[in-house]
Amino acid sequence: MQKVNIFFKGHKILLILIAWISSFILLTVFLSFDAIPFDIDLYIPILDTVVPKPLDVTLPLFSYAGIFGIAALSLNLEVGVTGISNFGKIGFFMIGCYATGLAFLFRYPIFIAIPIGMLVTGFFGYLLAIPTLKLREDYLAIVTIAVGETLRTVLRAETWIAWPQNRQTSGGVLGLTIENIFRSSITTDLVIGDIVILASHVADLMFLIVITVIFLLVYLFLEVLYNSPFGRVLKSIRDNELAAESLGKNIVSYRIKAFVLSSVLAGLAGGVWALYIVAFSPGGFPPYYTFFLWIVIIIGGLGNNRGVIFGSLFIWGIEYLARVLTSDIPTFVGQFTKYLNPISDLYRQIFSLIPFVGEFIASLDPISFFQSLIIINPPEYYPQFVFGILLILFLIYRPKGVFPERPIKTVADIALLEDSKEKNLSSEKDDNQ
Amino acid sequence: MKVLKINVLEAQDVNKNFSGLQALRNVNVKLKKQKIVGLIGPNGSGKSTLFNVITGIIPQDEGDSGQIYLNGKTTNHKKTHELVREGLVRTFQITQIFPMLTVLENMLLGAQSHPGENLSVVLIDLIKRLFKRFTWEASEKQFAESALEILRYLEIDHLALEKAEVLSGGQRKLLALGRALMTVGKVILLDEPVAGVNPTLSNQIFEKIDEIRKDDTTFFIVEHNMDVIMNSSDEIFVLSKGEIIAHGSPSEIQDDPKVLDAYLGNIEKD
Repeated sequence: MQKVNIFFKGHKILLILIAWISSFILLTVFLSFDAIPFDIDLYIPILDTVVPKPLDVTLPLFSYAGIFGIAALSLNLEVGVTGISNFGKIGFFMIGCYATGLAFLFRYPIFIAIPIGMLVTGFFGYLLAIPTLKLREDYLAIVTIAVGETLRTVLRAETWIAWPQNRQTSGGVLGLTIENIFRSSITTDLVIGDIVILASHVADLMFLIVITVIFLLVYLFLEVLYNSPFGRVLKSIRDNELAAESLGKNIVSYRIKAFVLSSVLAGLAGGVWALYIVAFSPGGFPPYYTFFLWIVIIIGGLGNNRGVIFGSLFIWGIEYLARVLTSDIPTFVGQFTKYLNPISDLYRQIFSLIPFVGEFIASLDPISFFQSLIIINPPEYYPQFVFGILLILFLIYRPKGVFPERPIKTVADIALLEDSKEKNLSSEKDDNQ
Repeated sequence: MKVLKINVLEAQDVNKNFSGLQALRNVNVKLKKQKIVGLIGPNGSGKSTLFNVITGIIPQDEGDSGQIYLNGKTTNHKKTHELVREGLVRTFQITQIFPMLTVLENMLLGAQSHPGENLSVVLIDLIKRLFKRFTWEASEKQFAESALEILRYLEIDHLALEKAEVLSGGQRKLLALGRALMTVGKVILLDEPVAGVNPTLSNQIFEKIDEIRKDDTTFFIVEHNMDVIMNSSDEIFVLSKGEIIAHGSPSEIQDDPKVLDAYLGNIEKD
């Protein structure tokens, strides 16, 4: 007789945790070697050589990946599982962030402030869901974009939002500033032998652990939900609305429930973000982040939460490392100029031999063009080039993502599998006899 | 003992037009309890439209008229999923399956009033019984057993754990039929249930339908396979150009000149 419910039996949550921690340690160790050509000292203001500088890269990277991972999980609930195209996810994230920040400014402790943020976001989600979820998919996408942008504009214009804090200076464009609870409570450096870990790093590490725990809890919750009959109905609505309705499922009601639940989770992600980033303003929630989340779930695998974890880490890895290393990339490319110049000279010489059009073709030298593109363009766009290309490649060659959707496993499936295993075993015995 | 003679399903003077095209014209259909009723007619005669109107998939617009009664109660302005709760189920001519779910999951979606499909039940279970068995697991197992029984009868039980997208056309028909049986509906409308299914199995399916109808179920079936429908139905309605042109037992329909006209064209006028 099995005592534990089906989802915790053989669940690979520990494997995911190990993968998460080991990739954190590996990246930190990798960055601490001087093997890579980039010079990360440029980014780090501290000059003490004993301080493990790579933590300045890996701590924010994993925190970002964790927090945006929660948001990506909530987007996956809408897009990958229920089939609601939400292009305004960052708006809900922002509501959660502001609501939690305001509750925190009212001196509520965090374990009350974050649920307040979740409830407020869920309520906004419900208000939006009632009129919009009856719309067709493409119209819904347009409406959600508009809502996300409207919320940002409203928060930028309304200065009174900061009223519990300071009536004169904040709110509106300037946003809110709250206290960093972890950094203010941990003030002493950690010394292990020769290595000194700064107090701020210890505090950030504590926060990262909290983020990881919340992330994994949300992941587990959603796994249970997807493998329940409720999750099955959501997937059936995504696959075929007509059939789901003709089997007695109230589509609109289920879509509203999924949308509200997803908004609550986005509010949770926003609340954690508020406590992490400490100072935030409407400008910090550009629509770019919504598409960022979409790229995370498309590359990871629509409808598969394990893919979301991978995608979030992968995409934030590119984004964050590029941010850190950006100033070095032009110099790095510049090193190759002496090798590339002869090639581009040869190109010009060959094409200028053609009569009439030769001069024109020679001026279209692709090598110099790309060289100048990389050196002239602002470095923060590099990851966006990469994401664009990745997205196109994935949609053409692997539309189901790195981790394709797996069939759900409910009690019935597992019971049936065990039956067939027993049958196979008994038939093997018969064969042997 | 007094027997109540209520028609389980009744369509009264149903008119339906699609921006000027009159798809149904004064259609009157009455289905008695525990009968297998056939609906035949040439292509484009409005058979599927009648099904859509009855099940509420096509809403009644202005200019459409007529009443539909389920167990003596009018069904106007009721949504499809509400009618399923009251026991009116249908399948589609173009099979509608859930390709990304397994065959068994497809079947389980037919289950009505499953406690696990209720979000609050799932959430409360999660909080109260985190490391114990969930309350809905028992009913899930029961539904799975009856689903497997139906799959076994339809001879697709070996595919139970495969994704439904791998099924062939005939197997998809069987799956859709199985799902309709899974809902335990009292009135089941089947739109070409055995098109693309091999003859032996289609005869078996109709035997099964005959068996199920004794259990207080009424079938209304659109089918182009004349042998099967003539053998198994108690009553047949013939639709042509949106009108019921004939109605009666299979033997009456076979001899009706109007029906021959509708299928073969009017010979006398030529």
